[in-house]
Amino acid sequence: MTPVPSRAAFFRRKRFIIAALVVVAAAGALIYIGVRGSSMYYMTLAEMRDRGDTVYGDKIRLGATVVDGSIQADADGVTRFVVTDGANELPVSYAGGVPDAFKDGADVVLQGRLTPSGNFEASSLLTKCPSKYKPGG
Amino acid sequence: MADIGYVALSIAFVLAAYAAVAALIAVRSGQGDLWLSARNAVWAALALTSVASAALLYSLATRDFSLRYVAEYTSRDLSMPLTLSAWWAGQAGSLLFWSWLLAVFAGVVLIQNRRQNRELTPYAVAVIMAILAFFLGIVVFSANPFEKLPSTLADGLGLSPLLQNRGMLYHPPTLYLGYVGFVVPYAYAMAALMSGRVGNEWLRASRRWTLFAWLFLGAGNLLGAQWAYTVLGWGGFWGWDPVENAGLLPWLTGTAFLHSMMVQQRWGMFKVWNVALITATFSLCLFGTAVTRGGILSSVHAFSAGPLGWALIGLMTALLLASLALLWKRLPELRSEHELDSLISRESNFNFNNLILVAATVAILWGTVLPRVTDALPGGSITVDASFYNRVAGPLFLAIIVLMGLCPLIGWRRVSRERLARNALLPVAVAPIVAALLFWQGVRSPPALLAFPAMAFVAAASLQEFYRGVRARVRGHGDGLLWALPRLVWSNKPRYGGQVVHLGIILVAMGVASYFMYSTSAGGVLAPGESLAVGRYELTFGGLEQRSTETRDIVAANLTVTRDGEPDGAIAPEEVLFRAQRSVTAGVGLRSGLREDLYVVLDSVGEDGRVGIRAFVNPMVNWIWIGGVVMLAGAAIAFWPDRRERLLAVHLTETERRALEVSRA
Repeated sequence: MTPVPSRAAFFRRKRFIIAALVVVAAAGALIYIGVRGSSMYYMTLAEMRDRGDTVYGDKIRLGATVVDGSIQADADGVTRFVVTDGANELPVSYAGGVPDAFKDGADVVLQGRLTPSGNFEASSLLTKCPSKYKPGG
Repeated sequence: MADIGYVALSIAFVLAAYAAVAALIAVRSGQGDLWLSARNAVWAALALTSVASAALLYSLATRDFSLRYVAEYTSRDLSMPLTLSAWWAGQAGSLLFWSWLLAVFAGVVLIQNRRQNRELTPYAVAVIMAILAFFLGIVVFSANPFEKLPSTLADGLGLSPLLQNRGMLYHPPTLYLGYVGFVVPYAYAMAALMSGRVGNEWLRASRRWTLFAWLFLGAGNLLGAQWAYTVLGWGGFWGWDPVENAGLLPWLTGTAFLHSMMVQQRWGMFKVWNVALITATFSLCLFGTAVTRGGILSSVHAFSAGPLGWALIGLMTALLLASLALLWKRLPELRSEHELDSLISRESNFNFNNLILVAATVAILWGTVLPRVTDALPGGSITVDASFYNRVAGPLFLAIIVLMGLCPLIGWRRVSRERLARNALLPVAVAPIVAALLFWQGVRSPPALLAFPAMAFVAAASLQEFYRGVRARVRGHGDGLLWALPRLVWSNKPRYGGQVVHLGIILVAMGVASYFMYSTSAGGVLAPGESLAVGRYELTFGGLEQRSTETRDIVAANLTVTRDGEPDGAIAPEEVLFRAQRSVTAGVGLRSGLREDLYVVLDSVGEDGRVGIRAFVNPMVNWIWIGGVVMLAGAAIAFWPDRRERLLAVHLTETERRALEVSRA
């Protein structure tokens, strides 16, 4: 049986419980705010198409494949290319350095926004080696 | 050779399963010969997995391209060290490597515990061997590295160019030593629950192993970060990718466990928490292996999808459920012997550092699995980007760092206000001074004005601890100034080793915070003679230079550097074409200093001779690696055998033990 705690012991414990609750609440709030501020949909091209006009301006992460021969590097440092999921195609512009594995047929993960003109403005570009430990072409 | 390897693995699988069952029955029924037989089975399993590993290494070294594994991961032009590193480069081989490490650790556990922990060790060995049997089962039945191709190939496909780096030689094995090392503390925790000997024995048997695993896991993460930084060419070392997170998560809970185990050893508190924590840590190690190897999460590292990841997640779930059931059964015996009674005490400090470390783990884990969890939602799954982790983990890590600084200022149980004031005076005074200095230097961002003074506070508190110890030794023992410090550290290795680790962490935190807050970059397309400004540097493109080696064609862009307008040498980022794989990787132009790194990448080479250049100025990145070495040194000091620990191993009453533990404060 648990002995009946003295009044002082009760208050000591209460202090701890309150302090622990404060820590847990603060961490929970951080996670909640973080998810709200940094989350975005991870979509395929088909899923994005299904969303229609509602996607404009939303931050989106998009997984797709680079269309062969579509990569153009402009003089101003902007890279333009087209991605596909096999059925749909989408032009993309990306200002920034591209990773080594970025080339025709590469699987890429883009992060950015779709503009009403139908161009995807990517703010980040990652290549996905289909199997990093397996030899690539 | 390959047949020998496969047969050895098959027998090892049977023996591991037998050893697990035999050890369990032996200790339950008290049959000494059966325990001897189980031990022999452990040694035989170790011998056989060693034979299989040797067979695989032999096949790799002799370039036996009749084996699928050898053909898929190596080629004739691959250097011998990298060829042998294919032992852990591919999926099947790395599972063999995992199994072999586990068998080695089981053997070490047997040797260590010949004369101690006799009641616990058979249970622990049973747990380890059951896990080994699971891994060997996967190797034998589904991921066989000795699988033959229909016909022998003339040459292999070769290792992915990104992995053709010396990082491949030491990053994966270091990380694996950490992942696998946590098996032993977990096995002893389960042994305590199964045997009902839920006192401090299992913690004493686990302390070393926890430190060992923690050290290697930490080193593995840092080596991975350094590899990414120097090779991948995106200018950073940590991208909050699922695979990176998977390595960090068990390290965070392992850190929490290292602290909370001290509280149980001294005061008999946190007993349930400790079992839960080591269970979580080992589960996260399995999760990490599954993420790294199984491709269950979408990652830039995505190696290969397959059933393996889910098999590991299945094992993790089964072990979690079994552990929880055992814990539930022993709950009445795990009652705390003391209560936390003072908010300002070391055990309370550890209590809160544990809470925050676990909160950080939960947050990072949540961000990592969110895409999977929300996969079924209409309209695509939800993911978070790096800013989530920076926003959430940043403040939590800062809180942990502040707690780290409070630790040496307060003692166990209770500290008087006068003593606290005396201890805290100097470190607390350092913080505003540093803040003022930073402000005077033009730093205005609130996070920086918060983080760096906090780190200064911790460093001051830690250094004060050393200073006081040295002063006491010089006065008390009459030590010379030169010898007082090493003697002090040696006199209480766990305590001062821990403080050295804390100093290392501060250096790492300093580098990481500087990088995240003050890294700058610029990019552009340059014709010969044109320049690019980044930070206080200006890079002028001189021209291209081409050369070839046996396997590679290299194009280098020669850039002359000026710093604050003064000539400052040259830097030449490269584009490297691996002819066999027709694959291009960047050769980062890196000039590394204690103050900052100049990091230049050659993005593209145009037909017209113009080049795409990206340049980064990354402040204080070197301090991350320096801090890492300091941490390793501290952990090694804490790991070193201590006189007091030997005393603990001999027969003492529990009260005498506690007294000795407390004196180690």
